[in-house]
Amino acid sequence: MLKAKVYVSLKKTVVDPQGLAVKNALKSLNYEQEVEEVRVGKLIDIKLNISDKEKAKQIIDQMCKKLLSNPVIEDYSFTLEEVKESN
Amino acid sequence: MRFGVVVFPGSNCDHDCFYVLNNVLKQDVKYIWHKDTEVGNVDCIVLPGGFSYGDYLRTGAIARFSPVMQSVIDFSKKGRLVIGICNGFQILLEAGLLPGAMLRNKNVHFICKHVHIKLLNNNTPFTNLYKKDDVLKIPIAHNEGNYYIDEKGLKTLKENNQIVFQYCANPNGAVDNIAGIVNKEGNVLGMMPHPERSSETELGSQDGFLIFKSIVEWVERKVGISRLEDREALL
Repeated sequence: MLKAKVYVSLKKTVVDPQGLAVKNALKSLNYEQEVEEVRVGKLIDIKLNISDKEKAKQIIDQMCKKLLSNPVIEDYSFTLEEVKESN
Repeated sequence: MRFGVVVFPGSNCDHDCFYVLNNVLKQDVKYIWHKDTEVGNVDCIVLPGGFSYGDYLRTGAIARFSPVMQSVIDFSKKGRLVIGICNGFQILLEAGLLPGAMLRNKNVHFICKHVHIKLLNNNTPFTNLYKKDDVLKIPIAHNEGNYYIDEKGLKTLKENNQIVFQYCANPNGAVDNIAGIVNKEGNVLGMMPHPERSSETELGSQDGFLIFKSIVEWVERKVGISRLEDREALL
């Protein structure tokens, strides 16, 4: 069994209002010196009923393009890992 | 004429739209359930505001794959009229019927208030009863109304006169103050402000009513033309 971790984030060229708000909150917690930039994204976990990694890659890529990300404003990346059936 | 108001799980302006179209505008209206695969015999489809599918993933992202949407897309490709209001606009963007995307409001607040918008294009089926440069007082109520489009896309919008409404004072960070756009063909309108909440003086403004009336005007004029063509064909 494979598990995919899909990361969706706003494109670098797109302003991230949530990230800015979080950055300001960190600033108020005295992390101003340490924090350069904050971007908020999404992590989507998907358990797959397939074991073929190549096939899984193709399928997850299609899912990202069709639904999980909006290509107008977002980029995506993902990793695949083996998990035990009982998980 | 007959309007169809699509109801998604989480729509909350569907009844407001139905009420204005039926009780104020005095037109025939029917609800179209999101699981229906046919939109049926209607002249204009309304995608109402609300929080379809709880705004999960992205606003409009799940609704876009509702069974009814393929029929809405086919309907629009035939040049028939589709208007998306607020969440309806977001769904049209996700469905690719209009260009661009919505981001969180710049101030990360849900904004619910009356705003002023300027009418840039009155040569559309949705705005033909207004005058160019008219300023309308219409409420907005959204968390993701920060319209985004890249520079190339914005240039195309301007060249084709697709920007229909602009905010007089930008409330949400939208590119070029954009509050509403039409597709290149002009038969699909998406707008963040709520004309159904500004169609009666009791609600503080009647400025949105002419959007619905314009649709009737346009459809009836068009039907009139086609009937004339039919008559000519008979002669």
